Amino acid sequence: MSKGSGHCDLERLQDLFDGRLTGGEAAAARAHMDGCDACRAAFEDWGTLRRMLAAARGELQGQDGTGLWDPIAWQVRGARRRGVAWLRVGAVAAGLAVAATVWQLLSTAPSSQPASWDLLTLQAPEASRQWVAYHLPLPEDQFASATSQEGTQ
Amino acid sequence: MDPKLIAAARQGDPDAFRSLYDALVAPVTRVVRALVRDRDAADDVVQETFLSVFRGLQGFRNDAEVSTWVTRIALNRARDALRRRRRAPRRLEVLEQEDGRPLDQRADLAAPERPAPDPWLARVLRAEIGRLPEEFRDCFLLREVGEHSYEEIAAIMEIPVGTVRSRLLRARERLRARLGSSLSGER
Repeated sequence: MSKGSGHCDLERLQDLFDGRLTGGEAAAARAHMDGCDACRAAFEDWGTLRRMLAAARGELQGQDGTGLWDPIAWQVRGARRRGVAWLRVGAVAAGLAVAATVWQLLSTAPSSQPASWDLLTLQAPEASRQWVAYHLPLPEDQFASATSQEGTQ
Repeated sequence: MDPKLIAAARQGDPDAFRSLYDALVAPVTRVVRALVRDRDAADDVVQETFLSVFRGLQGFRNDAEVSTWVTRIALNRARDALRRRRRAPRRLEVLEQEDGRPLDQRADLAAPERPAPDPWLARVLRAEIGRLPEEFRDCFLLREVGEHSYEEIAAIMEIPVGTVRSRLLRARERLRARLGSSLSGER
């Protein structure tokens, strides 16, 4: 327990108090303390402080924080709801962006494309007639009767 | 702490966060109440702490123990609360007087009508802990109330273990000096 010129080493004593010394070191520290009133008094006072705080700790042991949870839960759930709402907004925005892109692609497509392009731009029924004429060539009279029946339904 | 639990809490899972809270709230509350001493203010600090934890989980690095990280946040919040209180008008409280004399030399406290020694001394002790310099007080309470090891305190306060050791000793010795013979009477 001596440090340098024979003064008591309180840090070493504290190591003993806090259980940080190994067997041999602890035995040596205890041996010093047995013959040193100052070190023994310090050790005992620290023990008193610890016992008093242990009593205070005991009072707090029952505090499980249950009562503190509700305001936290409110904010945590609120944050999650806000997160979901933002996800929805994001999904809608992404959908709109895709639709706008498709629309732009189609509207800039060359007009000489087959009628199927026009179909996609919803220019029916003229477009549908063109598409059918292009993909399913029929004799002119059959085609005319077929499209006129379709139109009357 | 289960890494899966932390990962789920980080993803915003309220149940996972509740489990994290349940695991940590008791030790954190003990330290905060010992530091702040006013129960309502301490409860506010605990709530602020866990809200900060919830908001900061995304940025939490797994190289730190989650309890260390949460305790560090609690400590900082408690310090803020104490600073706010210090700026606010102080309540008149005999034990909060700072006349510089050791307690066993103060006639007001030695008066025969004082309460029984145990609760009285406990109250005096708490007042004296509150008067310690912040860095000594925090080390001392993390050790004695939070029951943290030197290494945990070092991680929480982001200081070397050797500094924890010297701060603890200085806190203990200051308390001994302030409480004087009142402590030996309790042996």
